[in-house]
Amino acid sequence: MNADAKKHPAAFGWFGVLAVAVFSIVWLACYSADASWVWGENSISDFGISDTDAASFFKYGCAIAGVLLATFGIGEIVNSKQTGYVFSGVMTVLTGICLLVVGFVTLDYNENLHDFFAILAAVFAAVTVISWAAQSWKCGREIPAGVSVILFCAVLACMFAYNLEKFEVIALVLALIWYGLYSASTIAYNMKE
Amino acid sequence: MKMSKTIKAGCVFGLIGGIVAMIGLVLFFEAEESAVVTMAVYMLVAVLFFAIAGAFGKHSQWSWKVLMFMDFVTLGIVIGGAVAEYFDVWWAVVEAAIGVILVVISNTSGSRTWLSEPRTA
Repeated sequence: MNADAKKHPAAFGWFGVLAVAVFSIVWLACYSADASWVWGENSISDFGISDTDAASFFKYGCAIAGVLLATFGIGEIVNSKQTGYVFSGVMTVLTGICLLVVGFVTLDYNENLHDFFAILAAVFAAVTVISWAAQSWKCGREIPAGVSVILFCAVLACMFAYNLEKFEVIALVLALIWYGLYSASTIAYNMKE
Repeated sequence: MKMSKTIKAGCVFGLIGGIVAMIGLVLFFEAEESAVVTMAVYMLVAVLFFAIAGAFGKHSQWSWKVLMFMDFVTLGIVIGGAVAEYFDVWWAVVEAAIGVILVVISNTSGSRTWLSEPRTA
């Protein structure tokens, strides 16, 4: 069997779809396991220090989603020719690694380290969006790039309007939508007929 | 190139978007210091829609790619403002609909040609 990664660029896109699906399912599982979590008052990271099963869900869910995201990023690096797409692949790998660390380094283990990697993951994700949108624009794919611009503006608006806990939830939802778009675009533009 | 119906529609929708934004500014006006940011964002949306209307005019100031980018930025500010509760939801729905129509009009081959060739009214 020939397992040359360069021959299957669309397949790597499915890792991104899986990462989004896993994180979404884990988040819902955490929410149903921990009834004390309140939107607007608690952050996602509070699931990691929960007394319920939500703590395990959060830990392993972040780890699995992080690994899947990093694998997707590696696929982008290996299969893309344009600088912007390669750079967004690198940023995706780093986002995945930070997400993995965030899952294991919970708030009660080391709050400063947890916050550091959480913020770093957000920064890497933002840079991924900018890089991918700019390269897509340059390649004549204005609609996917435009959707990225709209989502980015929405996140920026929420950053100024809400407290951290509310903003984090909204930003994560929009980030999941964007990574779904990113993965779907990778699959769609690399499908061979 | 003569101005086609699509280009005229783009100009009209841009103007309507700007006027709706000004109506929103009046309807939801609050004379408080804390509301300055909200009022400023309403004005920003009005300015952006009027600028997009101008892009469909005879003396357009933008290339096609810049027009598309400004369409998405405008739509992003409207949607972002709605999600962040700066804007009234129904006002934002109307403005978002106008923004989407402008994206569709801007993405036509007629718009691409209009913004790349010498134009006559």
